[in-house]
Amino acid sequence: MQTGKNDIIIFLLVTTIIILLLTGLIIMLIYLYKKKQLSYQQTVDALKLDHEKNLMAAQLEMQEDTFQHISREIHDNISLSLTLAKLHLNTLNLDQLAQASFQVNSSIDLISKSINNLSGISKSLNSDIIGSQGLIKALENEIQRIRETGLFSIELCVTGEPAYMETKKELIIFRIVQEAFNNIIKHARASRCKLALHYDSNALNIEINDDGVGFDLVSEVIRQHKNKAGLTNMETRTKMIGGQMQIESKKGLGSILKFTIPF
Amino acid sequence: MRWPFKIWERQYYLEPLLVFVLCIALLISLKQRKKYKILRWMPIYIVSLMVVYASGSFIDKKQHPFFLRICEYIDYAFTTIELVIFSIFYYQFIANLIVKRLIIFLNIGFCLFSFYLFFSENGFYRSPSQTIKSTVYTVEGVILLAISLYYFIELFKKPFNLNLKNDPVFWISAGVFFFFACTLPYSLLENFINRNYYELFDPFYSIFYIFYILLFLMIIRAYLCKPEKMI
Repeated sequence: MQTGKNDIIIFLLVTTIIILLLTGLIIMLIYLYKKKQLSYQQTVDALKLDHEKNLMAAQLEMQEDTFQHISREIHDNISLSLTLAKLHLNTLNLDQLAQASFQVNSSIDLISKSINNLSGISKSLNSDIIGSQGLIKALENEIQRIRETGLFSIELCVTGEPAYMETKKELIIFRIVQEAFNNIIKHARASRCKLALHYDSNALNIEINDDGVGFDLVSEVIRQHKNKAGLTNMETRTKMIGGQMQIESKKGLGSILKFTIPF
Repeated sequence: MRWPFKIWERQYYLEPLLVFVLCIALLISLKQRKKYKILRWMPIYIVSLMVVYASGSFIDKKQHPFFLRICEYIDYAFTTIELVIFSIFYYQFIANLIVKRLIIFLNIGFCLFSFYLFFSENGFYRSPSQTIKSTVYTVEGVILLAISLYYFIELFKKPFNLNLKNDPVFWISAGVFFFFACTLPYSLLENFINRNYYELFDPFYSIFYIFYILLFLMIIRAYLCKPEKMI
């Protein structure tokens, strides 16, 4: 009887302990698994938030750049022309008709030039053309505007079958190309520039090359990273639309910018 | 006043500890009753268990057959209340419709089964059989064990982005799972021990006290969870 009693005690205690350990193990495993899952999800959410913050910062930067571009254009070209026109008209002497006629004609030319410049700025900033006529037409207009400045010769080459892309994406591509042209105008001292667009089956390949002074890629990237402008800007915009950017440049040998933008 | 201490001594003083934990659980459940709607039935569960132990203590003092019978009926009614309350608790958040219907079916089936056993027993008007109580309790335990196990399977499979540390459902399910799994061997052998080793009945019943204390500590922990802020 005593043996039976002891057997019962041992059996119940051992069974209870084993079941307790098993249930504890099951619950602990589930708890740790869900904790790991939650931690992973929080990491993904943090990365997404970070990415959105970067996108927003890039968009604000683009806005600032646009305002600066407008400000520069107005100051460098339009303001100067209108000031000169005002000077001509202020110093008009109706007693000397020949000179007065020359001054009036000059003023008219300067005001016309200002109107054209304003019109050019307006067209380059207006994104409606992208929505109404597409990327290629917008780029043709931009190239024509640059040709009219006479700073360098510029050529556009489109190959492949143009594919549909969202207006927002085309607008960002247009701004990237515009930024590249602005850099060539400001820094490259180029005589020739070529813009090549190649549409393949799943991506748009863009190549912009010039025969300008080129630059040392490493030091330029470091400088621009500190100033948050130019190449870094273009790279950010390219990444925003899921694309890749490649730069090839050497001092004295010009530059080639290559972009691959998936549809 | 020596009588409760004699009984408590046999069960290693776990009964007063359980009553203490029950009192704290009741206070917290009443204070925080608006915090989590899914826990709104817990105060009823806590009070009904308190009634069971109060009646048990009263019987231990009086030792009258009539009061013994009343105590047995209270114990039996508590088993049903326990199953219904936890079934309602799980019914609220289990997503699978088939399992939800199964919970309802099992509850109805359990009530019918237990009433059948209860009324079919000879000597109904004298005292409910210990066999009935043990069988009913074991079936109740298996049902709740299966439901809580299904909850954990669902929790594991679903891509919840929930912090389990602050999830009251997890804590209560863990308590239920621990309690019914660990007391199952005892409830299966209860009649055998009662018939052949009656002197072991009280010490082994302390297993129930230990796991009830654990269950109510988990319920208290569930009430102390901070609600997750939804953005």
